[in-house]
Amino acid sequence: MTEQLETFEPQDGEDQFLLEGLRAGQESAYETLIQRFQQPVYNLVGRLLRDPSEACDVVQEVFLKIFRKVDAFRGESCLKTWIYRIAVNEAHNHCRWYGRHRRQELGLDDADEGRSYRNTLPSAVQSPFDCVLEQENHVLIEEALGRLNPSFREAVVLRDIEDLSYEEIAEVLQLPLGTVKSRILRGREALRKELERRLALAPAFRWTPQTVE
Amino acid sequence: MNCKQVEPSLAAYCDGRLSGRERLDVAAHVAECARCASASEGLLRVREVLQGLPGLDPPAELTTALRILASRERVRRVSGAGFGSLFGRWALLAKMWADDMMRPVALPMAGGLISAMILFALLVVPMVDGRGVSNVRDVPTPLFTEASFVSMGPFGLNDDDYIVVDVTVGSGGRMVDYSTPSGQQWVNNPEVRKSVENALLFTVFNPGTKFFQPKAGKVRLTLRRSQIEVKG
Repeated sequence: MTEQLETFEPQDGEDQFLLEGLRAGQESAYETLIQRFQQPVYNLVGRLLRDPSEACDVVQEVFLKIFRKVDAFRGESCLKTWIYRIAVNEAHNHCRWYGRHRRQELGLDDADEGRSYRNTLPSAVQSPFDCVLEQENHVLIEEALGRLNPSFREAVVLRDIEDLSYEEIAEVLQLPLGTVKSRILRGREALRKELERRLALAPAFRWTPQTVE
Repeated sequence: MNCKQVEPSLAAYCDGRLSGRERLDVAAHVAECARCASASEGLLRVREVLQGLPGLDPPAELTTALRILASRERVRRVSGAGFGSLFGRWALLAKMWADDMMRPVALPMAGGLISAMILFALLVVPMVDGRGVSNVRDVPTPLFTEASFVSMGPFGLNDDDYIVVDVTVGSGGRMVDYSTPSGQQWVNNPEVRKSVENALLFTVFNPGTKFFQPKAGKVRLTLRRSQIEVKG
């Protein structure tokens, strides 16, 4: 199959500069790393874990590993891919070791904990009805995503939410490109079926085309 | 292309990752096949829906926790808490402790040590040397001088006399005792012996000194008719 291979620099100058700063223990480099990757890593981990409230712990573990292993990073992949790989592995380990125990616990926390209050504020261009509808849709989508097989969920989240290229996903998940494509396809199909099933159960759900801001 | 062939490529097609002929083939099939068109549309919608999800904003306490973590790790990295450098740090602490202990006494100790070495070289070494027998080949030092011969008392010798005596000189510059090396025949001759003793009694010596004080010493005299050899 012929494909449009996306080319990307293995490591650009900014990443190199950041890595050197981290290795030298520069305060500004640590701050830059946190500012640049905190939100993407939190977003990724939050989507991969079934309980987003645990994302904070996992994100801290991810950053701890980044700080500790930065010397071992030889720049064979780009910094973003390396960090995403650590995040995916940590989320995977978390699910594997703690999932069984956590599943039996009853959560007292609000399910929306960890989301910004801005997401709950009504938008100026949307009516309150649309806003509530959108929120319901988001909750439905999140739930559907949470019910996906973890392997498919990883691939779909990295592709459709984090917007990584196929090659980057293959590198993050350490899988062949064909397997990545297959997982993305099957993940999307499973998600579509799940959403259609929920749509049948919840009449309020409707497809609303949106543009990415 | 049929549905089975197209299916694996649908996701890549929706993502615009197919190129050239394959993209055209898939597009042509999707245009004809309602099922695949529906699937393709469904996949596109799923992608749109997922992209429309709001990003999860990390809570403020996570940012704080990460900054604390970064600060700790940075300090750890700068101070070097690796296993190898742990010993280095202990060594540094030990060195600092030793420096603090030794610095106040370092100069007096060094001064004392150097003084002691000079004194040892000047005084103790010649003392330990303890030369009991005179030896003129020794380099004289002001602290240690050997006894020496000054003038001979009046006495006569026969032509064939060859006398060697070791004279013990007292601190007053006179003979205290004498002895003869083995093999000397004159000792058995009472006359010669008497004249030698008389002569030695009147012989004047310069006593040796030890730290500028006269001391007893030994002088070897070789007496011949025409000459006197003095050793010591």
